Amino acid sequence: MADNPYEAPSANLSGNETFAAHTGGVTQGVVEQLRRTKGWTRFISVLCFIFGGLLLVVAIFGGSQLSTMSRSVRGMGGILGLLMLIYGVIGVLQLVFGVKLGGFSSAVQRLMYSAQERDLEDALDRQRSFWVFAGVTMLIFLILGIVGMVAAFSLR
Amino acid sequence: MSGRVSPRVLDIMSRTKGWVRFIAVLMFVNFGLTVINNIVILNSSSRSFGDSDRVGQFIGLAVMLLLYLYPAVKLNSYASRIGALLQSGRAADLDAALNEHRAFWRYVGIVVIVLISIFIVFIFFTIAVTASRARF
Repeated sequence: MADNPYEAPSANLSGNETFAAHTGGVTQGVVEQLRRTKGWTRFISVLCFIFGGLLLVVAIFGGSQLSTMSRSVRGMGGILGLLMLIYGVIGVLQLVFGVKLGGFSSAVQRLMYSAQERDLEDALDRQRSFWVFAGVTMLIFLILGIVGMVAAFSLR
Repeated sequence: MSGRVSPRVLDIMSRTKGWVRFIAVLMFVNFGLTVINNIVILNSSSRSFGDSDRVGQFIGLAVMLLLYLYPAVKLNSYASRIGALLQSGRAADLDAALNEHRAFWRYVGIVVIVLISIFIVFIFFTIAVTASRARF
């Protein structure tokens, strides 16, 4: 029995019995929303891989060049080394973002074919994992920013 | 039970809501602080800023802030829709929440495409200018 007796009927276009049964939230509408999201998240995921990979290459290449420089030039090594480290960290973060978004997109792909409740749960869990990682990363950067500001203020 | 969301899905979404809301709030705070900071800078009595500089800075600021504000609104809406889903447990509310989620990613994707296009045009323009200067 439907929750809303006035709700418009929906056609089971895929012929999938799970859609017809509306079990566990796997409805046509939900899968359609995820399907339309998948393309964009896959696109961003690929860009994250490209950008993260480039940053890591720059960080590794820059670091190795730094180590071969003469001592006089390496006087600036501290700053450049820190910059390479930052590039490396951001590169790794980008790659992790790419992995998580790519995992979500793949899970949605599986859901589209199976229409199974477990695949919906997997897809939603992967997007939850992405938001947790994004939130923790922003929190860490926020704390580092506050610590930096306090340190700069106290050094005056 | 037709139209009902499974308890596992509800659990996952409840654990998503807090982080999404947190990120949205950070983006709103960042938006507010950037507005205040740039108003202070633009209203400064510094002689280094001419009127055209100020107008240009204001336009650039407005574009940047719009880029931050819309995704923050979408994420906040997503968190709110999850809240409604947790109250009702209905698939229709899950649909509505995922619609906000989709809108966020579509916006991010479009902005990234536009920025990449501008970057590519800028590179070609720079190459063309450099090449024409080298000839003369």
